[in-house]
Amino acid sequence: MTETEAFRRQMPPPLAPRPLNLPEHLETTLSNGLGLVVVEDKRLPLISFRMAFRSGDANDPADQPGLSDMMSSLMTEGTATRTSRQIAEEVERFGATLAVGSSSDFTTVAASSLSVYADEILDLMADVSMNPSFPQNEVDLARENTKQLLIQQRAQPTFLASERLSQVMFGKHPYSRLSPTPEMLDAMTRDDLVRFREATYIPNNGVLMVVGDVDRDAIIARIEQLFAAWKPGALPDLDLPALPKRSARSIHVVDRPDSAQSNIVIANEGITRTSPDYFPMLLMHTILGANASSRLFMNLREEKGYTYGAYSNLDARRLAGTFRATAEVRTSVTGASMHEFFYELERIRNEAVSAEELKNAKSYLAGVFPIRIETQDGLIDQLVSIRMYDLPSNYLETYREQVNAVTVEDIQRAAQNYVTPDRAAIVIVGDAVEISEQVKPYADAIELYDTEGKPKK
Amino acid sequence: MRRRSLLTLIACAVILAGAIGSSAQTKMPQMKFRERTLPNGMRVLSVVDKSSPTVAINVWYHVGSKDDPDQRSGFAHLFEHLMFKSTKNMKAEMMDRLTEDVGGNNNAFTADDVTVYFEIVPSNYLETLLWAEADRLSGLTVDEESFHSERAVVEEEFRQSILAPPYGKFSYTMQQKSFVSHPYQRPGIGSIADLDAATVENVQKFHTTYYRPDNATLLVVGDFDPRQFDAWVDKYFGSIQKPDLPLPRVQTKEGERTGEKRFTEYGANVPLSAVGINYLVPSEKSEDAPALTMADIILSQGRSSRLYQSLVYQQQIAQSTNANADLKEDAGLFQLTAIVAAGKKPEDAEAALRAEIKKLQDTPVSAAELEKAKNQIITSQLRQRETNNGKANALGRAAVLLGDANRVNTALEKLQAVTAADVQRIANKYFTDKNRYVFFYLPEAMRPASGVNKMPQSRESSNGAKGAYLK
Repeated sequence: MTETEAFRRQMPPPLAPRPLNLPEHLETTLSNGLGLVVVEDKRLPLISFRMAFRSGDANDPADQPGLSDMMSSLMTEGTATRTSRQIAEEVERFGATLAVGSSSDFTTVAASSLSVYADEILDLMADVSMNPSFPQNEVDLARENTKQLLIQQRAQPTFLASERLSQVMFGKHPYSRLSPTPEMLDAMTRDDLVRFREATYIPNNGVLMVVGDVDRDAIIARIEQLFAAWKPGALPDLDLPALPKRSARSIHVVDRPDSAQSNIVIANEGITRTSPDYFPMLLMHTILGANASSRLFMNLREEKGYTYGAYSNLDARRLAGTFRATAEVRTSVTGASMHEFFYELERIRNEAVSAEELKNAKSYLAGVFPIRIETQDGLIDQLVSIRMYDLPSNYLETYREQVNAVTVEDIQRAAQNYVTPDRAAIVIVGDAVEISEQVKPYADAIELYDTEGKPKK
Repeated sequence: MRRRSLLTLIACAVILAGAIGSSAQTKMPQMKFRERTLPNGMRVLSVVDKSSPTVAINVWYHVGSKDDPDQRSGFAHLFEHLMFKSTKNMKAEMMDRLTEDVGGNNNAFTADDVTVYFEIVPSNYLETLLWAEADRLSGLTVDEESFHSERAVVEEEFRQSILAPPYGKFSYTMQQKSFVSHPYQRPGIGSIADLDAATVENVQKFHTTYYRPDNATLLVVGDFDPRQFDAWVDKYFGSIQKPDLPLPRVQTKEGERTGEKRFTEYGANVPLSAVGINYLVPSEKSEDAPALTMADIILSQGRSSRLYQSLVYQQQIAQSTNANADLKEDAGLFQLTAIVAAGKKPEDAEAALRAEIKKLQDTPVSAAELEKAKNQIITSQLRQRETNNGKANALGRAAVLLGDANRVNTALEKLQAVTAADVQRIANKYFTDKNRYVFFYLPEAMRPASGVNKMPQSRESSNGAKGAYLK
């Protein structure tokens, strides 16, 4: 290369942007109330199905956390006509996947396969959704496996941090409960699972999404045939205690002796997914901590080298949410990292973001949108959010307009409302002996817990 | 991995896990790629796909953790991080600005044999990214300050991925112990001591040695005009000189194993014991690679797989199990692992894993099992090809690691051709007693009383000292 290559000094400009054609989706509702969304996608011989129900971990009775989770994982472990092993064999013979999972606000039955097996996998999906039998031996095995998972979870600092934070932020609200105790699992019976499913897995509480290499009319006809006999029922309701009101900053340390790192989480109460503040918060979060070019990452990782990654987290669920800043840092810089976190939280709250930062954040969100829906699952994720959180039906079409409408003032207003360092809850999982002096400047008293979740002196 | 994922044996194996299959009824769509080699030796592969206004750019350098300089384990990976610092015409972290600020993303990963940089951006920014990739191939201008700060970041990546998770040290130690002479024995993430010893001079030397056009493959998949693309490639990459220096390659061969070896390690915060068994197997270019991949799938993919059905579901000895044909360029490992259920003995989990190996050796797998494995592999291959970056990755693997880009299409037929007799043959050929390594990873509380060290560390005098920094 020679010095005459002036073109290397000047970054080339982009070409004109090219339009994105959003996939057309057809929406309808079966006579029993089951919603249906179909998108034809013929790029590859693949198909993806997902059925989502507006019932999740938040619907667990207060004394039975983990019920929705247990019920979900057992749905593929036996039906009126198939054993657990037969289901697994059939699914995998087609090279397919079939999984049921529960999250805070909803439960999903997800299936995918080569499109030549679309009928077979749909048939299995209908069977596990409508006819799960919860065999006693499978219930017992799942109970034992869950107990072992609980043991493993307690060895993971990220779980310990989430567990403590959920309890501090959500109080008696169902979002506070992340997992059952072994005793609660012992008390959970097959009847509890059957009753819970009957109350929540009803067609008028759900939506089935289909994306793939399929003929739209044919698949709709097949779905009507398979799900027609499914009877609607009364929609489940929720008992929702208010969140604890926070009036001061607090620190909660989970002592994990010999930890090489401190797992730091700083949280405030946030917004629900349908809040009118959602888009201002999304832009604020993008500037503060969503990415590798956001402020937290640039400061704690790129400038200071304290961590492999520092991020913010906009956790907006159906009923409540939190806004958090997190990082895993080496023990010796726990206090120094807190200093940088609070510096950035104060800055986003007290100073307007620059026009440049806002422009970049908007380009980011508008640009990654087509990348997110590049896969069948990526598109289905968006469709699930729209239907489960009751977002507007033109959400995909208007997403980029909504992003572009946010102003510098909107962002500062959102930060002042939802980033409140003097009322933050701070959770740290790490070696308490090593970090207690370092964190003292950040709160009057430290609450100490052991890895079993019990208060410690 | 530079950002969010862990650089572990398993993670890299998944990214590069290869093999293509096809079911009886579904024809794997052929990937229509264009290939050219520039006069300076750089290979360029591209696929036009206009279904979305995006483009994926990959640059594969044929240098990986096995090329870490002596006493500098983890260096290739640390170097990968430094490729995001300043270059002649870009300031530090410019790659993030050029991708995230325009609505894309980027990352990189270091595996044993390759280092891969990738960006996914709106397609109108393709030229900008080609300019940027060419600039960091031309040269880095890393200063002491950014070198020290990035090294601290990598050390945090080490703590976060190896020290913090309950089984981080399990796969880390297992890889160290499994190779006796080949540099694959050095974990890609390195050690704190070796990272601390690295210098800025090492960085410049590494770039000069390995980051050259004749050791690089550019892959671009997505929405672009091929003629315009060729012109940009000529402009930005064509004039980068090929250095007049030899390109070093690892020559060390891993010798055959001559007897079973066993190792026990203890760790703090280990909730349940873990057991690993592995066998040394040949390169991914070997004719036996497709059958090894099939054996992996039959043993471990899904809940109907043999290991899950036997160890987790029926005997309830294990909380979870896995098998992995971790095939690499020079030699590979076929590994079986189990997290032992509470109250069960690691010895019993080992016996159960070995019983499954014996079954593979004694009886041919059924036609149904083989058909199932082929369906599973074609489906996962198609899923990978849903994205532009997934296509680029598959093509890069064929071109760089298998030595022929066209294998992105033909590897499928090889997997399709695997028979039950092949699987039985490779099981008998490789899963022998003298080729076995057994690793127990136990909670600290199970360590024998002090005074006598009962761990058979002395058997591995060649690697015995390597674990020291972990303590």
